[in-house]
Formats: sequence, structure tokens, C-alpha cells
Amino acid sequence: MDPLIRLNGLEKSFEAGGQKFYVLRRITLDIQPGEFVTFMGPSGAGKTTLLSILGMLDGGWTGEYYFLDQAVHRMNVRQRNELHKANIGFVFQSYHLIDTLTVYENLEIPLSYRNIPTKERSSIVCDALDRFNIVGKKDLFPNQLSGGQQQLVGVARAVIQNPKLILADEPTGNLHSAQGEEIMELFKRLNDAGTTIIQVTHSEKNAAYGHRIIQLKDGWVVGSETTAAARPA
Amino acid sequence: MKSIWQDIRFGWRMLLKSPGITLTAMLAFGVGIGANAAMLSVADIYLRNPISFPDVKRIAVVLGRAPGQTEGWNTISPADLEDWKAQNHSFESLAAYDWADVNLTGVGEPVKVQGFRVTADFFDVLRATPRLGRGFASGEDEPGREHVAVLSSGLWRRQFGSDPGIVGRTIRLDGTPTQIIGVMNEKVRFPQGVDIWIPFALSPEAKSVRNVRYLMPLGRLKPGVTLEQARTEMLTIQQRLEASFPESERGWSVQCMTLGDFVAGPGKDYSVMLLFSVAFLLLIACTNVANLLLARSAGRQNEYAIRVALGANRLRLTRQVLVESVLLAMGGTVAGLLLGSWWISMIHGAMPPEVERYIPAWDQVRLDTRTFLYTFAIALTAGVLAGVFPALYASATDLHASLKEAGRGGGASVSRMRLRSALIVVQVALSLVLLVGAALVSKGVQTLFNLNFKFDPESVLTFRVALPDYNYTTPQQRAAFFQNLTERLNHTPGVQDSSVAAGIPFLDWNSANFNVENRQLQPGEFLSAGLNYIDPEYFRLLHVSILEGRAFGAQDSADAAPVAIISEKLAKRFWPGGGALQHRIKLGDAKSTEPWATIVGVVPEVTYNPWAHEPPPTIYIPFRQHPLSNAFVQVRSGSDPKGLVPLIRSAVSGVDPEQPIFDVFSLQRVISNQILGLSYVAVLMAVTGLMALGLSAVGVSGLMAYSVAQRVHEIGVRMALGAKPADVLRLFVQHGLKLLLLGICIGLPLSVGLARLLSNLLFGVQSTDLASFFGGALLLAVVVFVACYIPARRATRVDPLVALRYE
Repeated sequence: MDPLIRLNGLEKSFEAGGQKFYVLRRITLDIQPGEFVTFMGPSGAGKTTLLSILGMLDGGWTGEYYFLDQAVHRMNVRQRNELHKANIGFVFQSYHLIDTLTVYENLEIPLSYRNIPTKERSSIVCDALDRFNIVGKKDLFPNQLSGGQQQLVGVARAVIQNPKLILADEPTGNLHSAQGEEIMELFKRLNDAGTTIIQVTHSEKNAAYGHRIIQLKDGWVVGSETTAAARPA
Repeated sequence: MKSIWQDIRFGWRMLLKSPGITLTAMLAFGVGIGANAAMLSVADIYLRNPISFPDVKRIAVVLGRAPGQTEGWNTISPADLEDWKAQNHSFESLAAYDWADVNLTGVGEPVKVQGFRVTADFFDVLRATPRLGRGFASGEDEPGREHVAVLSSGLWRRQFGSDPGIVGRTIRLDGTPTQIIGVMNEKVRFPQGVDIWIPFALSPEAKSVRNVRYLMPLGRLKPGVTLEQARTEMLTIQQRLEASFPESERGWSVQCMTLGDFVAGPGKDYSVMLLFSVAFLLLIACTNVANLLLARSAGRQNEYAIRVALGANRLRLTRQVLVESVLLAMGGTVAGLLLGSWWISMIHGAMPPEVERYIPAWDQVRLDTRTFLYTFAIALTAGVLAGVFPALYASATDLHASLKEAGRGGGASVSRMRLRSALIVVQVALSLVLLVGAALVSKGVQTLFNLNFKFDPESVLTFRVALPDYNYTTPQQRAAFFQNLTERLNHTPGVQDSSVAAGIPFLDWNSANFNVENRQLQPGEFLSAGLNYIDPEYFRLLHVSILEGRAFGAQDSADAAPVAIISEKLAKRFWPGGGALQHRIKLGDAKSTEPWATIVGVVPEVTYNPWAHEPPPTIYIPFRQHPLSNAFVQVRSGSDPKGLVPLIRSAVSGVDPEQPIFDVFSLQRVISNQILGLSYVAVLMAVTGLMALGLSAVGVSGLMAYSVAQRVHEIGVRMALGAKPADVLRLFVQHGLKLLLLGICIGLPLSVGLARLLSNLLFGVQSTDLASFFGGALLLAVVVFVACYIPARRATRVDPLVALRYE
């Protein structure tokens, strides 16, 4: 099976005071469809940067990046944007809901950017509200929800257009343990249904939900291990 | 379409979320859009449609230009008209008109009405249709057939109570029975101020007169002929006439313009100037709003980043911000239309009726559908203009920096601050231009007033008398009337002095060519000056001193040797070292048969035409040696002269009970009316300049406040390291003053350009008027300083510990 993502010698650096500082060094890895991968490592290791690059939100890197066999490194900004829109959903640590939109409208926003007709959007949003059990909250604003509920909406927004890949940056970082468990269980169910998930986390417990842990340090990939969940029984 | 509706709903919600910014932005737009709406309604008349006739652009006025005349136009002679009609191929026909103040009797009290003598084809050229009866038939302008008249709708209403049976009725005009054959429809108001049209009755001899010029020709261009082609042909014809009749035609030229341009006159230039002023004001409002939106967008970077992360492309983000800006502009349009409507009613209300009737299409100045549509288009453009930079900034969000937990996206902040500063510089520059423009125009008006304050115009009453030819056929009869009148007036209680003259200050009368004895004219040189016939009391009554020689006296009677008084400019031109007295001049060219007149006095310049950029000098001739039938009478009183009106009417009746007087006004009012247009322009520009100043102050103040808020941490650090409050204050005020200086450096050259334009347009405006430049810059500096100082003072109150903990 062809990998969903293939990185080959991917690097990102910036210049300061005449010197070059590397954020990522010669990252080479494959991620298969349906995998649940965790990036772990100390602060400054480059985990979030790698996640942003995978999500095509960050430019200025070198090397090769293939997504669904398409050479992202040869695409321009508009093409990357289209590819990202069609296939990737993001979940942020700080939820990043739009405060001035209701729950319904927050869910609708990514669909409107994909030029989906209003009737169809309405139907998809209602399905999502139902699926995530938040129908009663559709007219509330984010500041009227708890942290867990906000993250739930964030996850719902990320999956609403059925992406092939979900990228989650510390998705439970601002939640207490019970809420965090709920979110991870949700990710597990999504992954079981076929969605590829890549998360960044400091939590071993969260990492255990995935199939593989990739360790980063100082911009390098320093290790890769299969989790207990992935090992054959 | 539906996604635009989504953006509109969201945009409206965002605006309601920050009511302070929303209201400020709408008010700024309202001021700019309102001023534009008001000026558009005025300019629309002058620039597009000052007069309404079928296919009016095909009607041209063909006027003369006297030898040496550099400004304005001149009438032509009957012989010129006949030759032009016979020789031209450009016009379907050439009609003409002339002023004819006539006394209307036989309908209540005798009353003077504004009449115009016209050729029989006058209404045909205009394609003007009557609402009752008919226009003039061919041949009705021949002697013996001319005792017919057509009324204007206004006179028909005022004097005849809109009598539907008016056609066929006989009235008396200057004592002559005249049959009313028609009433023109409401829209026919040419020439300006017309009450009644009467046909010319020129005999063949009168039509051959070449050296008396009083006709105003106009014609309808033939299909396919352009105005330029007509102008070229008429110039060629005039050159042929000059060759054939050098004594009367030498040096005379021709000018053609559309009827609309003729009617609009200098109003067109002033309309354009005012339009530019209010456009500047709107530009300032747009930069103000742009600054507000930029400040607000700084707090929405996170939202924009999320939208991009969710799939929004640059176009969508740009559109969203533009929609909000346009919504602000639309809100401002509502306020602006209310403001504009109020301005227009103010302008209307302040216009005296005796001036209003001479302003083309004045009653059509209003916020009509066309103006509303223009205003809407301007508002849309303003909304887009104000939103462009904020929209581009929003769509260029650094996604990664905005979504990161730490980091403040410092790079984007700096460039946004630079852009906001640049917008402030633009505001300051434009405000300076408007302030300098207002100062220059105001000074121009003031100069005009100052030229004539010595008249003490408040205590002088003026009125006009038009003696009918049938009663006053000889110069002796006319002279006797005015002699008797002034004697009676001088014995009237309350009257200190009275005087008769053909023209009075600020009411342009006439000009003429002249010659100086023993002075050879250079080839192509023509001497031209203003001409006024005055009695001996004229200068004394107006408190005009005699610089050399004497005023006219009793010795300068009809039988005495011709004498003249000249103005200072003329004396200096020909006798720069002095000694103009006893030299001789004569009216007309070198071959003119007019008698040589001895110069007996030199007087200062008196303004007769406030609109002339270079007023000509003046020659004064004794009224008794050239008594006219139409003259001004001036009466000086020790108190308010309006109280003398009944006594004055009584004095006139005592000389001739059938003789009405008209245009009874104080000289102050005459002057005010004449420069009313200029005064309006000055006031409007001053108001515009002050609004611009206010907007700039708000803009600078907003920028400073934002800057202070952004730099709270920096202020805390500086204070923790030892900076005093005065150091912090200086930090911000210096920044504001730097922007001010840059704005002034850009605005000054623009102001110089404007000054040059105004000095070519207006009397009394100097392009090197340093006081206006410095005054405008100083006022701006004071306002900007205060606008910087207040928010900067807040910076000095920052608690360093709080500021550092906040970070």
C-alpha cells in the first residue's frame, strides 16, 4: 500500500545574525493510511512545526513531501491550499473557535470555504451536531461552553468534511483528564473508522492510543516505536 | 451570492460588537459623504445641466471680445449680427437679445420688470415652447409689428394671478400698448431673471450701425457642425469684417461657447474647486476609517488565521473585510444624506431672492435621484478604498505565528504601524491643503471687502431708475429728471447726500476702448478701461478721495468742454512719474470722432467687477455731459437708510408720478449679493477645512492611543530602567510631531499648487501668501500636538510592574 504521507530529507531553518538555525533536520518518514501516529519530544524539538508543514500551513521548507503521491514540494501556495482543504482537518490545543460565531456557524465555516451549497451544508452540519451530541448547543457561542465542549466542537469542525487526515496539536492540553479521555476515545473511534491521525502530545497516556510514536529532538527524528495498541496480540 | 450574504451578516455582527469604532467610522464617512452629496447637487447643475432646452448642447452663444480685453466677453453691433447671419454656414439661425428694463403699467401699481428684447427667431433657436399662446412669429421684430410680448411663468403668476385668459390682453410697457401673445412654460428662464420678452424693432438704418454694441447673439449649430468648427468660421468672418471695416472692427475678436457654459459662468470653476475640496475631505475620512479598521484587525489576527487554517483563501478574507468597510460606508451614507440635505437647505435659505433669480437652475439644487445614485456610488467607492489596506493585511496573515501559543507576531505589527503612520501623514497633508485653500479664499473675500470698507456701505441706499424713451427722448429731459431728483433728495430729512451714476461699486457696468493724445499705439495694441458716468457728488458720497486734481463740478455741464477723471492704475501706466492732469484722452480708437476730454482728476481704484482676476482701470465721464435713461441713484443717510424708502419714493413721485424705482437695496447688500458666491465658496471651504482638521485630530489621537496600548510592556521596561514620565511623553509626542512634519512637507507643495490656481481664479488671492500657508500649518500643528499629547500622557501613568506582569 502506498503511504499517505512520504517525507524525504525535509528540513526547515531560519537565518538570524548571519547564522542558520535548523528547526527540522533531514526528516524522512512514511505514514500509512489509517495510522494513528504520535510525535513526541521535548519543547523546541520541532513537533508543532512538523505538524504545520504536514498540514501545508507552513512554507519555507526544503526536501520532498508527497501527499497521496502528489509532490507537495512542487506545488504553489494555491495548489497546497486546495489539497489541504480537500483532505486535512486540524485540531488545536486552544480550540481556536471563532468567538463571534455560534457552534452551528463554526461548524459551517469550513464547508462554506469549499463552496458547498447552503442546503447541503445545513444537512452536513446537522449530521455533525447529532453525531457529536451537541445539537442542544448549536446556538451557543464558544464562551458559553466548557473547555471540553469547545474542544469537542473543534474536533467536529475538523472532521466535518470527512478528511483523510486529522492533525491534532496537543488536543487535550487545556482539558482535565476526564475530558481529555473523552477526546482521545473519540480520536480512537475516528481512526478505527479509517481516518489517519497524527497528534503532537507530551502525554504518554495519549500516545498510547496511537499505533506509533516518533520521537523528535533538536529537529531530528531520533526514534520510532510501535505502541502496545499496535502490536499484534 | 449566498456566501456574500453570509459575509454581510457576519460583518454586521462584528460592527455591532465594537460600537465605538463603528460609530466613529460611520460619522467620519457621514461627514465626507454628506459634504460630497451637497456639493454634487450644486455642481450637477453647473457642470452638467445649468439650463434646460431640447438638445441644449447644440446651442452656442457667440460673443465679441474687445481689443485688449483679456477677460470676459463683449456684446456686438447690429451690423455685425447681420454680417454674421449672412456669411456663416455653421448655424441654423442666429438670434440675439438685449437687456430692456421696462415699466409695466396698466396692471395695478407701476412696476419695473426685467425685460429682454429678442429677435423673432429667439424661441426657435432655443426650441422653447409656450404654455399659453405662442412665441414670436417671423417678422414680428420689424418696426411697427413689435408691440407684442411674451410673459415668463413667474411674471404671469406674480403680476397676473396665473390668469388663464391672459393671451390677447393689452398692457402698457413704457407707456406703449402691448399685446400679450403668450406665456412661456416654467422651464424657460433664459436670459437669467427674465420677466418678459419683447421683440426688437430695428429699422434698416439701426441694423447697419456698427460702432454701437449691445446685442448678445446665440445660435443652434447645424447638424454635424462642431462648436470648434463654428468658432473657427466665426473668427474667419470677423477677420473679413476687420479688413472691410477697420475703423470699427480693428482688434475685435469672437468667442463661442455653449449656452450651458455661458450660463454657468465662473460658477463652473468654483463648482469644480468645491468638488475637489469635498473629495479631499472624503479621502481624509477614508484614511481615518482605514486606520480604525487596521487597528481593529490587529485584534482579529487569530480569527483570520483560523479561517485560513479552515480553508479560506485570500480572496475570501479580503472580501470579508471589504464587506465590513462597505457596511460602514453605507451606514455613513444615511448620516451623510441627512447632513447633505441640511447643508442644501442652509445654502438655499441664505440666498437672497434678488440673487437667486439670476442663478441658473437654483431651485433644482436638491438631493434628487441622480444625486442619490452618485452619492451611493461614492459611498461604495469610499468603503472599498478605506477597506483595501486592512483587507490586504488581513489576508496576508502569518498563519503560523498567529496560531502559535507564544510569540506576538512582532513583524506584522511593525508594518501595520508603518502603514497607519503613512495614512496619518496623508491625512495631515490633505488637511493642510484644505486649510490653506480656505484661508486663501477667505482672504480674497476679505480683500474685496477691505477695498470698499471706506464707502461705509451700510448707510448708503441705492436704487435704479429706468426712464422710458417715450417720455424722456432728449438728453436734456433725462438730465433734468435726475437733477430735480437729487435736489429733492438732498432736501429730504435724513438724507446727507445723493448722487447719480451709470454704475456703482461691485456692479460691473461697461468698458470702452480709449486713446491717449500724443501717444502712438503700438501695432496690435488696444487700450481698454472700465467706463462710468457720474455726477459731481459720486466720489464724495462714497468717501473716495481725490488723489490729484478735482472731482467733477457744476462747471462740467452739458455745454462745457469735455473732461474726464481717471483711476490711479491708468494714471500710473501712462504717467508713471505723475502729471496726468491736463493730458487728454478720448473714447474709441485713434480715428474715433469722440471729443478729446481733459483729465481733471485722479482717484483710487474702485471695484466694479469682483469676479475679474485683473480688474481694469476706470475712466469717469460727467453724467451731465452724457445723461443716460437708466441709472443708479445713491443716497447716504446718517442712520439706517432703509427708513428713507417712503420719502425717496415720494421724492421720485414729486418729479414724475408715473416713474417707478426698483432694486432698492443698501449698498452693503449690493456688495454682499455680488460677492455672495465667493462668500459661499469661502465658507464652504472653511467648513471643509475644519472638518478635515477634526478628522485628522481623531486619526492622530487614535493612532497614538493604539501605539500606547501596543507598547505598554516597552513603557514598563523603560520606566523600570529609569525613564521619567517626561521621557515617555516625549517618546510619543515626538513620533506624532514627526508625522506632522512629514505631512506638512507633502502638503505644502500641494498647497502652493492650489494657491497658484486660486490666484488665477480670484481677485485678491496671492500665490505667495505666506500668512495663509503658515497659518494653516500652525493651526494643524496645534491640533495635532493636542491630539498626540492626551493619549501620550496616559502612557506616563503606566505602572511598570503591572506592565511587566502583563507581558
